[in-house]
Amino acid sequence: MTDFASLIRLLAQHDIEFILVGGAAATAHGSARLTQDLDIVYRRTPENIARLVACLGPHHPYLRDAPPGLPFSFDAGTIQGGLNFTLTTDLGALDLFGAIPGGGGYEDLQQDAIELKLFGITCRCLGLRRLIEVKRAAGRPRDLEAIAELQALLDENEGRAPSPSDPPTRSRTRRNSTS
Amino acid sequence: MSKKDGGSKRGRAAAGLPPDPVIDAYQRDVDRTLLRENLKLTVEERFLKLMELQRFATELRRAGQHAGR
Repeated sequence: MTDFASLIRLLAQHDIEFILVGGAAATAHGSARLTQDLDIVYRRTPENIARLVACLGPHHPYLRDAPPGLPFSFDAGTIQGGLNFTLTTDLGALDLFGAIPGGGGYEDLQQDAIELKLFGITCRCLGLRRLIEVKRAAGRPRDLEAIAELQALLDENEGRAPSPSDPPTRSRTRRNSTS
Repeated sequence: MSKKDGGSKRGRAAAGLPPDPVIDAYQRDVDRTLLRENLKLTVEERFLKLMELQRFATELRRAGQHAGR
């Protein structure tokens, strides 16, 4: 299980420059889907990477699904030499992205991030419209349902939700389809 | 996001989303009642709900594995 609250708080309290993306960002926007890991895009400056290493190091980051015993050192050299890392930590699953398909890196996404106040801290989260665009650009079939839900959330936020007199919701549609 | 979320927009993509018939088809099956309930919550409450759901899913998996033995 992932302790989203502790992970987000930890990152913010160590002044990590990051943007929430993926399922956690979708949750922030109101998604009802279950996500298992915290996805963040981190800024790839030497200073931020050093803070990231100092912040996560005590929580035993290790490559998720890596064979036990595989040598892995979570240090600045490793982060600089790589880009994206799917990690397990004492606080749960954490995915660190230097860049995401269709979205780019921290600097590319920064202007489309919003500020969230939660768990006593402030952090950045990718805005809903940009989150949809990024997921659409990634073109993964498994994202289709998630994108549809995010677009429905966008409709709700922008007042384009179906009114009660509009065509029925999912459950009623299914009942009608059998008649 | 509403003011209740404690969120303020820093900027957004100007372009509208191009139509996609596949996503539109999926969108017809989205249960908006769940979304509307979530939108009544603060962002923090949404994460707390997610973690509660995770605990529930973990417990279900554990029970399922136990029952399968």
